[in-house]
Amino acid sequence: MLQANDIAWTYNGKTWLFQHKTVAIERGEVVGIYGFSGSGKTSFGKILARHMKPSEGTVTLDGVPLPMSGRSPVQLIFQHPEQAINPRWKMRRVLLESGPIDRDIFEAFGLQDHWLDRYPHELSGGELQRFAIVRAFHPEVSYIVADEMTTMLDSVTQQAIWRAFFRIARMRQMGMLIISHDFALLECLCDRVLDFETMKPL
Amino acid sequence: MIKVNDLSVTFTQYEGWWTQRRVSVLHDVSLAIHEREIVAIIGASGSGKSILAHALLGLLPENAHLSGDMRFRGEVLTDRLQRTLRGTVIHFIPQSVNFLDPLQRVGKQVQWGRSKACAIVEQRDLFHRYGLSSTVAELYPHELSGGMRRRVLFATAMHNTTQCIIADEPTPGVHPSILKAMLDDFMRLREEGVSILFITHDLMAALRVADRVYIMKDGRVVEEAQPSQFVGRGESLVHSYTKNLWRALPENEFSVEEEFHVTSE
Repeated sequence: MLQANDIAWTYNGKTWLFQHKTVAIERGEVVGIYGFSGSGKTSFGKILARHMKPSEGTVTLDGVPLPMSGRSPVQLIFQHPEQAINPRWKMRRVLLESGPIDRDIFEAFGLQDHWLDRYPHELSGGELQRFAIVRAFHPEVSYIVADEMTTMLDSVTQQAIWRAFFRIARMRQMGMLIISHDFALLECLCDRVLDFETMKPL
Repeated sequence: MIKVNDLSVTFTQYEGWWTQRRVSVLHDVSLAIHEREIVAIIGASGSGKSILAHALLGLLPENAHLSGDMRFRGEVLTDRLQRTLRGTVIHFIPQSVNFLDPLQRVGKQVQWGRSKACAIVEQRDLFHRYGLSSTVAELYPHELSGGMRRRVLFATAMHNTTQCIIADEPTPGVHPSILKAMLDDFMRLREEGVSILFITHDLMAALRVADRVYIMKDGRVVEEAQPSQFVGRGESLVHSYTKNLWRALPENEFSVEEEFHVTSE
């Protein structure tokens, strides 16, 4: 179980962006987070995936704090893949950096072999986002935080990505935290949706 | 107001040192934006929506080749005319939040291009309207969340000299209440006589305000539709891609017939 206990975050040590955020996600469970932009949802996601240390509180996986080095078992996928992928690397190197990728996953997201020799700017946003997702599915990864993962995409691509995403995630019994402004989407995908303000179900 | 006929755009790219290759990104696109009209362009990323906006504004890079005809109120859109119109008559809301100057406070950036006397007042009003507190004006773009940056970009295009707005994906990642404020502004501007080209992948947002909708796929306009055609299972829509876009919405069936598959090339 992935647990965030009483998490708080401040940039300057004076004003709190948020405080007292607690959530527990079982393996195989899909939890949605809905809230206002600028309320700290992205920072909260980063803390859960160990991109940032919380100002207060702890994040534990099966009762143990997340390891501070090495591959995180909690992987974060951002809204803008072009900002999460090295623009000077070809896609092959981008994928290899995260370790060996299962052919099944590669194919589930419809990645084409000839894309591997392209630079990120030679792919569309939807294609690039699929690379960002595929590289997060390392066998050691048990939780995914998806922060506005398909906000930039049209409805057809969005639906196809989530379908492939759930097929893999269900097969591996992964836990998921999905952050979005799109309440209709969260309702389609999640077992429960929390209001980020109160952390109570909506 | 704006009329585009058979617009095609190709890019010249280099393969290695000596060989050039031509990549075609827009194919024979024809469309019109009439006076006092909100026209939406819907399509996937990579369908050529942004290229179209950049072509209209004269912002394409030098390796782009255009053919076809673009007119503004009957006059051919030459480089020179584009330069005169940009930022005075036509305002642009760019897609990428990276278009904000990283080294300038965002309040200042919204004041740019306005008359000195009212710049600060206008900026404050705009921030208030889009739910940005007065302290935000003193921040730099990297200190803002994605949704806040969108709202700042949106505010930069709101001028009282505007006659036409070309908005390239102005809404993703903003909260529903802010989205409503933005769409309300589009409708208010239309009342005031402004024409708007609303480029988006957010079909629901487009249908709330648009008078007409063009659907783009792979550099082509595949369908022109009325918002009223988007009902039920999309039976009155013509193109299968348009139907899929409609059915794939989480508000509808959240389903499409297509799946990703690996093609051999």
